[in-house]
Amino acid sequence: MSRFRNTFGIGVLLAVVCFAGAACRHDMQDQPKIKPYRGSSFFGDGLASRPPVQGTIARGHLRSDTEFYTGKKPVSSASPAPASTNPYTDDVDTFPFPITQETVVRGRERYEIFCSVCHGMTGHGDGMIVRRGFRRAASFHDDRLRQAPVGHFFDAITNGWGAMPPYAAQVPVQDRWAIIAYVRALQLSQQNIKTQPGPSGTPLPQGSSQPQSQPTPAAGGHQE
Amino acid sequence: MPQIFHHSTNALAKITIYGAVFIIVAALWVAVELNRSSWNTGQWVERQQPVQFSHKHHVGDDGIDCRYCHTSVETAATAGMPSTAVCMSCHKQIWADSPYLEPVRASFRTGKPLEWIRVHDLPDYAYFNHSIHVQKGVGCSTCHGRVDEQPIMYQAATLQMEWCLECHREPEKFVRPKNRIYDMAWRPVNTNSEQLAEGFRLKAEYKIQGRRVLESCSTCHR
Repeated sequence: MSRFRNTFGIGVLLAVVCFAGAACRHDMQDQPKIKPYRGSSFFGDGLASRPPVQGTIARGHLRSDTEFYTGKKPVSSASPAPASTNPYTDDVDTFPFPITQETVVRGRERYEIFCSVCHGMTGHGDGMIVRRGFRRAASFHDDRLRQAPVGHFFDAITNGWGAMPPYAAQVPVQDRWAIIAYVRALQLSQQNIKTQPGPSGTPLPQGSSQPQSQPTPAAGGHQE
Repeated sequence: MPQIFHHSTNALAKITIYGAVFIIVAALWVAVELNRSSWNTGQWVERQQPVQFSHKHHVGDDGIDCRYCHTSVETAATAGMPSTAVCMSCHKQIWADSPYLEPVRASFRTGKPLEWIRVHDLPDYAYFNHSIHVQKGVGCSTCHGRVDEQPIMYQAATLQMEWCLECHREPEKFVRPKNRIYDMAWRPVNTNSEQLAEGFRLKAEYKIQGRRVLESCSTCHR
């Protein structure tokens, strides 16, 4: 009889151990190490992730290519163009690398993530956030933006423009240029077909930008 | 000398023997079920946050892409939490004086980050990387559920190892086309054989490793 009692007792003990083992200590689950977005009581501001010292440049991230990283012409070559016709004199008017179909496809994807919320899927400035009450975004099909050089778009994405916030933190440099290529394609798609008989089947931006005809050696080595 | 035990004690002894077996099995079953229950895993438990942020509104009603805020999901281990500046991109004009958003404005004024409550907290001994899952055809909703239908975020999966292994053993049951990764409404094809055929095709296309690698301890515990 007592043997059975013992078996029963061991069974109950086993179950209790199972419960206790499952619920008690979490030392390994919650290790005292630093992981992204975790707080830290060590630093005064409570942040575990430390900001880099002001002016730090990570290896391979020196932004020496002015046109690629700022969309502005290098200071030496900025020509004193007549300001009355072109308000964006210091912005580059050609893409800093050759635009391929992959660039435009990537640009479309990024445009629909980051830009379409305000500028709308077709670029008329009627995105969902505008419909919710945000100041109306610029339409890419106005004359001002049709004529604006690509560097102006880059500047607007990077530093913001009017009510538009800067997107430098959300969109890497390469993607900003891809988005601009897609905006050019959008502009082309909304133009009067009779006046702009582009080559059939080529959605690539043509005209003033001429990305295909101006390949530059800057295309390589621009990984963010 | 009279019998110490009455004759009926025999029956009692038998019941105790079989009963003990039953009780042990039942206790183990209860332990296993409790271990998998939301009481232990935190599954389905809505977490109150410092701001009443609704994914249902931002994703479901507004149609904002996941990557607008979770920018590093394609390139880093963490999906990335938006800085307060990203919130203020819109909320400097929309709901700009709502008392609900005062914590956001306070954070923007002072530069002190909002302290969100973590909803999906993996144990520290498990290594997880968002970018590889996204690149290999695992969509957001496979693990996070219908985020566009969650006014308050909750953990949609148990996050237990058996749950991870379900997919690591048979990824073909879960992978989806690249252009549907951020599609909250995507579901595996109804008929199992069709999903499997599609899954095996995608598994080959994405060059998903075999079980030897995906089930290796050091794939996740490194």
